[in-house]
Amino acid sequence: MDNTMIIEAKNIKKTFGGVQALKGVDFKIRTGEIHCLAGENGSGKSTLIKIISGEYTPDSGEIIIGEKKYNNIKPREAIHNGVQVIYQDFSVFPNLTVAENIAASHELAQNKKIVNWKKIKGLAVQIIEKLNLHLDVDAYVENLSIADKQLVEICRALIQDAKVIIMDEPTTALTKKEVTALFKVTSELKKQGLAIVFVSHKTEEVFGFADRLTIFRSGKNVVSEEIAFFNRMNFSQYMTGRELKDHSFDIEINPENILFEVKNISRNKEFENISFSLCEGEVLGITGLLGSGRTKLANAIFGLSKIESGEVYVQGKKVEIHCVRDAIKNNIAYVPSDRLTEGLFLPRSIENNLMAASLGQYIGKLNMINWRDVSQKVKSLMASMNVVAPSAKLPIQALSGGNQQRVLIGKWLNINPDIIIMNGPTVGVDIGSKDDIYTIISDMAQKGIGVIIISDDLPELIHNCNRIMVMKNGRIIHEYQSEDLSEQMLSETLGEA
Amino acid sequence: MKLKLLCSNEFILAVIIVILALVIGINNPVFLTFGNFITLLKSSIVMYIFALCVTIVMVSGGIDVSFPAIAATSSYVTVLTLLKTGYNGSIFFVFLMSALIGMALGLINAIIIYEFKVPTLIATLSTSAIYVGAIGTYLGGLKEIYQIPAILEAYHSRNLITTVNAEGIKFSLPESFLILVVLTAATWFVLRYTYMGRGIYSIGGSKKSARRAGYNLRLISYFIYIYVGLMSGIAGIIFVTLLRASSVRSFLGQELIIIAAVAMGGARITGGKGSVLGAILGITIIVIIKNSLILLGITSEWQTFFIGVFILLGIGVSAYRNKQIA
Amino acid sequence: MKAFLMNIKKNENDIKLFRLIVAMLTIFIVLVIVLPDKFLTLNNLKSMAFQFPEIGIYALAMMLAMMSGGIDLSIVGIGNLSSIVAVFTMTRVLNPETTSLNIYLVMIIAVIIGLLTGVLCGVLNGILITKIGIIPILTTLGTMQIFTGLATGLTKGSAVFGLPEQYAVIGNGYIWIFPIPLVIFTFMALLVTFVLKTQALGFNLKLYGTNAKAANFSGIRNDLVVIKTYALGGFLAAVSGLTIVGRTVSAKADYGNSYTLMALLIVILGGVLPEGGFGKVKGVFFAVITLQIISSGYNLLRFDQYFKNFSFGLLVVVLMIMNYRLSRK
Repeated sequence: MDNTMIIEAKNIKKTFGGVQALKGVDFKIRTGEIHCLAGENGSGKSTLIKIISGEYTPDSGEIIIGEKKYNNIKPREAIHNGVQVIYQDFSVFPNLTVAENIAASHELAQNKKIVNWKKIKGLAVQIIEKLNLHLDVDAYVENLSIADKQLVEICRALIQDAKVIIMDEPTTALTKKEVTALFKVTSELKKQGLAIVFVSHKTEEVFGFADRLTIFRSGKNVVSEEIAFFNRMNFSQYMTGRELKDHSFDIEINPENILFEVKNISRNKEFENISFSLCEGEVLGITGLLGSGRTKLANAIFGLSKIESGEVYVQGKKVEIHCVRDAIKNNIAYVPSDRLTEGLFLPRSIENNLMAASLGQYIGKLNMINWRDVSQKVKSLMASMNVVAPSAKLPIQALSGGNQQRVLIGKWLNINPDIIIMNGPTVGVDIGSKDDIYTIISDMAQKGIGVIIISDDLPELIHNCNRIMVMKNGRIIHEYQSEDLSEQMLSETLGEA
Repeated sequence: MKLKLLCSNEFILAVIIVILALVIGINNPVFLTFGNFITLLKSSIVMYIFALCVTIVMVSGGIDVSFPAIAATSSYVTVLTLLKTGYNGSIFFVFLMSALIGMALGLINAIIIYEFKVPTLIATLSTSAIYVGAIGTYLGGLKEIYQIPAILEAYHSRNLITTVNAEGIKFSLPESFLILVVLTAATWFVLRYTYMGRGIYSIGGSKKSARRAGYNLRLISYFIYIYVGLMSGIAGIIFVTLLRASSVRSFLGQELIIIAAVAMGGARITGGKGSVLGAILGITIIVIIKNSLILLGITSEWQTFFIGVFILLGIGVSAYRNKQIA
Repeated sequence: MKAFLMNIKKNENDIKLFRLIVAMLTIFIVLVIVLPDKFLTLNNLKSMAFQFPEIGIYALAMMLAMMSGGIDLSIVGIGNLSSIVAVFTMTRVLNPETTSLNIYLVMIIAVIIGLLTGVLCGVLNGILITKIGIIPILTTLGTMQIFTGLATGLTKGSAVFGLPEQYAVIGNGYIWIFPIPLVIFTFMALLVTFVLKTQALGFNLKLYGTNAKAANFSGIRNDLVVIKTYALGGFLAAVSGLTIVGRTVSAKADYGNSYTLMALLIVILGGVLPEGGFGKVKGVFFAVITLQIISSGYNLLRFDQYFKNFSFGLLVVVLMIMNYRLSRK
């Protein structure tokens, strides 16, 4: 196979508001090769992809495609050069039909001015059938499930005359069968001479499908070799930069003290008959594919949506939760998955963010806020959460992801919760902060706070949780004790069709 | 498929219109005469054109309140020019001049909104004041002109259909109705069958995705506001010929009603959804309501109040339905 | 580096305020030079001091709405309606001559009823925005129509007279050397500052205006925050309306048509961000004065209202562009 280099990224640097996402990386894409780009959250992989696709402009460095050199490639130019990206955060148009979503940009790239609806529908149907999928081309994308949205995205990319297909975490919502189908198609494309790049951190995908592996860490390209060079050991070493520390926490579990329990709770079309309990010292993990209902479950427990049937008990007492305030009053805390839009007020100060859920504790005479007490508490919270910042008045968007996440956790610890649900607690967080957060988690468990972790990060779950529940289609399909569990077993359960 | 059609916003509106018309017609038979129909149509030509303007902007996710001001400004300047020069050639050039002025003003809107990222509402609220204020200041006040240029007077008399009712009263549908038809067809075509139009829907749905898909956001934004300017300019001249007077004041204040009507017609304020048909239906309902208020004998002082209530009701119902879905 | 970033945010606000004060002083000085015997007279300064509180209080109402991430186009409608209701109370319902009630009691009751009207109008706005889900601009465009329409219907479009002359002191009298309208404005400014800085409502309002989703996730009752904010705005609008009536000694349904645009201009000039969450009363205060100076200058220079509208519209655009370029650095 003649693998010629088709795209080369040279010495790319990119900074976002004080944080250096890429510190001068090189990346080579070759035809006829499936190249995996791996790295922890925050390592810069998505940033590089967006620079190659033209969505971001690098601070310095160049993209070389064939003969042309670009310092500042635009999306249309990238597309014109045959670059197709399947984004992690979906670039679908919710207000348009599946057919238009799939086929319109293809027509656009050919500089068509008039819309041929028949052709659009035809193109869409064609690719859907080729991939053996079940999508209604006339449906509006906003009505689709997350998995179907991802499939629309994949179809869109594959329909074009692409020379390079880049997939950023393409399988988060897919079952094992769908993943296999996807990679069957991509290996077909590879045989036809396309270059395939996929971003992933799932070991079985990396070792199962890649020809070449490049690992990013903290904004640098630390290794790029053919897959044979790697094994599980050096893989995680390159990924994390250090020996995996043994995080097995020895916490006393007190099965007599049940902190939290749910019995047969359901919410139509979201989750069904969920029952579990959490006792003192326990850390419970919940996982499942994207769309399995984990987040919807957390949202309902926290009062963001209503639980339609079943019962919830906090500290043995039955509670009715109709809104977030109720949840907080019953000492339930929730660290949401999307820190940037759901958890934090980015332009506001660290102080504001820390106090957002617990201001009621600091109201004095005349309903006035006692700012002195607030300042003191803020200081102590920042210290206990190890948040590094010269002042609490600094806007939180100036902090790194790890610091931001710690502030978010601190905000919720300040309501003195009995149980805390953490959804994706270390997404977009650097290694050092990850470790800090794991320590915070075990501290919380030790102090008698019930912790529930929802996560995609299987090693994280295995290392931090005593028990792990797997959800699928709104139900719990498996429960494991983590000491009996290996990452492989867990990911197999996840991928089961 | 059939069920989808029945549940669609446009269909429900059409049904409401038929029911309303029947109810009012039973109460007051005058309403259902052909003469009345023509009169209503005549009085709403300008509103329909404005509705097209609002629809395009709303689908892209913005709100434009400057269209009446652009119409007023371009037509006023054109009328003054006609009075000064005494031009009496083809009416086409009159429309062209007003359209060009409108497009220039639309261009200014586009620059402020796209290049400087000023929110559409604040931008167009301000440019409204700027455009009207400018002509007031630099063209010597906003005179009410009752002796309109001969060429416009002549155009006023060009009618498509004329009918006489039993009492000998004449009703006529002016030729400018054709302009409305052309503009409606053109707008519908652009939105449905060109990638410029699909780009407008795409921007309204997700700016980020539109950029990634390769749509030229700058080109599309400029197109939107310049096109609105063009239509507003034309609407301005039509208004003058219908009113047989140039009165800047009469243009202003219509923004709310048009925007509300278009929103009622199914266009989403946040962008991405909307249709020419829906806009037409929305305006039709408003026109019928307005007419029925008059027929019911409600004084003009109270009309503002009732129309406001009705509009809020209309938008409220549609907003509430959207809320339930979300 | 982080300290550097902190200084940037602080600096952005400071730069805006600084520019504003410089602009204010410059315009003042220019007008003094251009109109040596007209501008710096006691009469003119007095008339400015009596007038700016009206628009100033409206601006405070607009500020609150904008900080919640919305806008309130109905403030003038609320002001007019509230004042008409109050005047009706004073002249028809509880006419001191026919009911032989103490005139001051009548006035106080009328004022209270007027203020209540304002609050109710604001609550209506809040409910339409939160419970029905109509965006603020459409809601307030609609309610503006309704309030003004109601006022027009009640007054048949003409001005209402017949107020007790004692009421005129509100708009024309003094407490020591301070014009009463100025005193009222000062109290309202202090009230808003009090709410924003010391009350949970103020804190929650700022959070909501910054990120409504995160506010919901933090347990903030978003609906209540919005309703209370618009209610307070309605209250302020009513205060302004009642003060205006004190000065003109008559009530009209469509008084102050250009006040809405002016209020919008003032809050933007004063540094309130249209996206929501940020704004300072002192910024609005200086902006009000600046605009009043410009307004008076226009009147003395015999510029007509068209130029006023033209220049105000232009000012808003120029300011927004300047803000954009400032935030890009």
